[in-house]
Amino acid sequence: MSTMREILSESELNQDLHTRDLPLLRIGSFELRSRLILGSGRYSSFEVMREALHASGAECVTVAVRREKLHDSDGRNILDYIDTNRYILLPNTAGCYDADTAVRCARMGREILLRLNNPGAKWVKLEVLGDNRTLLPDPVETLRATERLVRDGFQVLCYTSDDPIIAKKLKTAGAVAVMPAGSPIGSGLGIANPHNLQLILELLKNDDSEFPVVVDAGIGTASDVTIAMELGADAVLLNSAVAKATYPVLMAQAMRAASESGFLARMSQRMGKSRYGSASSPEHGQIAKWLVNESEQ
Amino acid sequence: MLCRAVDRHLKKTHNIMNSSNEIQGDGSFEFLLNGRPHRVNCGTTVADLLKHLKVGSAVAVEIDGELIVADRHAFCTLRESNKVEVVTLAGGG
Repeated sequence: MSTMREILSESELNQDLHTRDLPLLRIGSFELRSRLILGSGRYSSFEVMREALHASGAECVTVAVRREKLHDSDGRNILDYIDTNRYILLPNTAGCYDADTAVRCARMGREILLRLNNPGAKWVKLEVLGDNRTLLPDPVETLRATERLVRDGFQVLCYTSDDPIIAKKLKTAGAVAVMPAGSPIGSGLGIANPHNLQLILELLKNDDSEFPVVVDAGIGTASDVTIAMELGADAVLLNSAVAKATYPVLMAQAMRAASESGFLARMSQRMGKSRYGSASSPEHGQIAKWLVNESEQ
Repeated sequence: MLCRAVDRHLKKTHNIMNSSNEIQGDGSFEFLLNGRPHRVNCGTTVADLLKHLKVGSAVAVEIDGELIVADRHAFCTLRESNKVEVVTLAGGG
């Protein structure tokens, strides 16, 4: 894995960095300042979604491709609440259970984004599920779809399980980012297997330290984001944790702080752990010795 | 013949979809639009359909599993037995 010294100079590492000065997140041909990618589903209203997106500081927003509601009298469209000149949309293939459907879905998403003139037409968040209860991905179909979409010119961001071997295969197949689940979609269970996530990071960044690994799914609260970032994830993609919070806009703000916090902590290279205590205050010049073990007196 | 005309009249009056996708005497036919039967006149193009449905430009159209890019909408004529998907963007993670 790359050290922060390779990304930032020694003097920069000793500065009080403003968010705008942090290294950019590079995924495929995209450069993002925010390391948080936010979903647009399950909010109580489009208005709340819009405010949450703003509070999160995210530049990239995921969207789903769904049948047009041809008989909806409401007439409101999510795009009236997402500024497509401000946000890069990331269309997903959510709800697909086989490679063929996922490829069709990706192509339709690209067509819509091309019509919107949004740069997100170049990429897709590939999600091929294997089970409708756990919503865990189908690794075989995901790999098949990745190969086809890469051939079709897509920059594929692959949602996958936290299995290191399939993660490696997806990278080899040409995915521009691999996005292991922290835990099942919408579960809020956080990073269920940090060890596997570390293995994925090691395996995928071993010969390519810049290769983006994004933790996608399972995030429940801000500390989950921080842990993912501290472990070495390049970004976190989340939706329900914000949308289903009692106060989504506040949680969006918390997620923004958490992603920056975790990233900064990783850059800082944390202290080592010890089984015993180590005083922060000087051990000499104490006015009393009564806390010291008797045997040492 | 009379029965067919009455049947057609009743279906038209009561807005009942005919389960047959054959071209009817009035020059209309039925196809599947987003999984539901939909009736149009012969010669209807994808562009005509989208205009009729009053959907915005943020849509993609697929006929029988094949994406019809926007440039082809005006030239692509619908046929009976077509399975048409008109999709747009929705909230998602």
